[in-house]
Amino acid sequence: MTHSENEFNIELSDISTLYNTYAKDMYQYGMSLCADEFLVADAIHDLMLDFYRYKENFLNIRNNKAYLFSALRHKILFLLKKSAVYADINDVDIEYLEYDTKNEHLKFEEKTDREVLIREMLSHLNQRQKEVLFLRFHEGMTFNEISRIMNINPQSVQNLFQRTINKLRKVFSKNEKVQGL
Amino acid sequence: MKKYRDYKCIDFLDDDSFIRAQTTMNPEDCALWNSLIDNCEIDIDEFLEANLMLEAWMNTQQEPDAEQLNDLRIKIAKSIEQAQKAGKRTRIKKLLILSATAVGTVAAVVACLFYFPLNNKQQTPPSEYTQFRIINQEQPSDVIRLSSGNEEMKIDEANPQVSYDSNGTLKINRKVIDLKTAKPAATTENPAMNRLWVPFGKRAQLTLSDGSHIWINTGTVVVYPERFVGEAREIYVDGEIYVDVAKSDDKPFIVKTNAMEISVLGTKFNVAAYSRDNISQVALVEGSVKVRQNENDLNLEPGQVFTTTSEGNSLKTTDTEIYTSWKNGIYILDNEPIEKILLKLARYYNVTMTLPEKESGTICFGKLKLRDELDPLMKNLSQIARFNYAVKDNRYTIQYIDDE
Repeated sequence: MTHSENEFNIELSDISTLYNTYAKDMYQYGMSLCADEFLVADAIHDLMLDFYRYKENFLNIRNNKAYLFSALRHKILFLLKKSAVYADINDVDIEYLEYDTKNEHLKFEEKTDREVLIREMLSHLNQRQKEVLFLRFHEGMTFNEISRIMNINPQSVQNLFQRTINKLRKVFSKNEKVQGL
Repeated sequence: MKKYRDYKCIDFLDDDSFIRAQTTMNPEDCALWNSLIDNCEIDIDEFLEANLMLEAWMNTQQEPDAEQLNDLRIKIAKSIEQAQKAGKRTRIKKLLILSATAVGTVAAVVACLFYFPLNNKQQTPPSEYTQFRIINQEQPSDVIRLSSGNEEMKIDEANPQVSYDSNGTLKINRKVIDLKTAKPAATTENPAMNRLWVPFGKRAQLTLSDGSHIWINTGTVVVYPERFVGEAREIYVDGEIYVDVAKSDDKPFIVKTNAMEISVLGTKFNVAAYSRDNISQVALVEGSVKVRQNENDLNLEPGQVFTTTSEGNSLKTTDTEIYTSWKNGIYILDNEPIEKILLKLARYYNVTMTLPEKESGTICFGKLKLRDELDPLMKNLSQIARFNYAVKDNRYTIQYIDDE
């Protein structure tokens, strides 16, 4: 965009570009937060509409994925509270969502031992731990970036990640013992 | 000083640089790990295990399907249009239909796939195939095209969903499309035949009026009727498709290619039959198929792959996954030379690759996640398979790195 920011008016094409670029990642991040695909879709929808309406918000996020995730997180928490199902995402252990069997033919269908093991590991984690894994493994974010998104200080992120890894380690070694390694 | 040598799988997953290398694939981190591998400073089994764990974790992440993303995009556009009308805007802008190109950020683990060698020897196609073959040699194009009679339309998306319901009504990405032709009523002799061209660099999905679902790979033409009438369901293919055939007790589904004919009642299989290649293959996933080639019939069982070349035929039983994973945007292989990988990528992304005469001797194995852009893939691959490349105007020139 080469408009001067004063004259800049956000158009549908700006939002479309933004959406096209980040839709998949936003969706997957949202699902790591709350496992309700309709709520996630609503959150993304409302977020895009906000960006269309409020110039400053859009300008802030334009090249900043972390900011986008942060805004999405906020939106999802807001919708969760509104639906009065959960008080606070941090308090809740939401069960890991099983594969949507209708869409099976669209997904990679390999079911290796490793995948079974990972799913087993993930079932031991709570939602915050899953979120931190997503931001670390899928997005490759640093603890500083994660801290800004999750609204906790970097040291807490590190602790959270460490505890999560330790939990995985336990499941790993339990599995190794079982396999007689 | 980090003890990389003692690193177990979990330690790699805990390592910043390892994660960065796998997810963002930046040069510095990739270079570090490459050099550790080359100098044997890490336990390669643990390293690969960590890679595969990370990959497995990635696979358990639910991917949104294109339809969901598209539906949401349309919903957002509608809401914005309403907001426009409601109005702070004085200018009225046309609603733009943009294609959804999702940018993937999942890391690619080293891998590759067969590239069937180009060979000018072609088998003599059966006569009814001849007309179809001529159609396929028309002018090349970058865009997916759907034609029916004299009408033709271009489809801009990179992986559109084309479907026909039992009345023959056409929908593209769930929107009803009217090709505006006065079509003759479909009779047994002359069902309205359509052609869907998918050029190199693109893919598509097609649902036929009987509910059969076809994944169409790059560089493929499919000719099919809008509605199936008559005693059999017949389509023509030049290229590669994976088809999930809707079950029918009495109407066999027949795929005709230049090399052979495959008929089924209800099943899932992959057929690769590019007329420009010397080799054609059928891989059966589920159900049963009959392959007819040069007056010979052969019944396949699930897990069998039938290969036919100008030198002869072969049948083997194997994991069919490596033949079908392309439909999910993933290529798998065991132990393929880097040369074959690069040529396959060239075909898939529709670019030219010039390779050195002397083979590098590099063999790769694993999985490759195909993205919309070739460039990040090449960057990663060049680090791992040890080559340099220069690119200009979609022409890649490769040079192997000599480690002596």
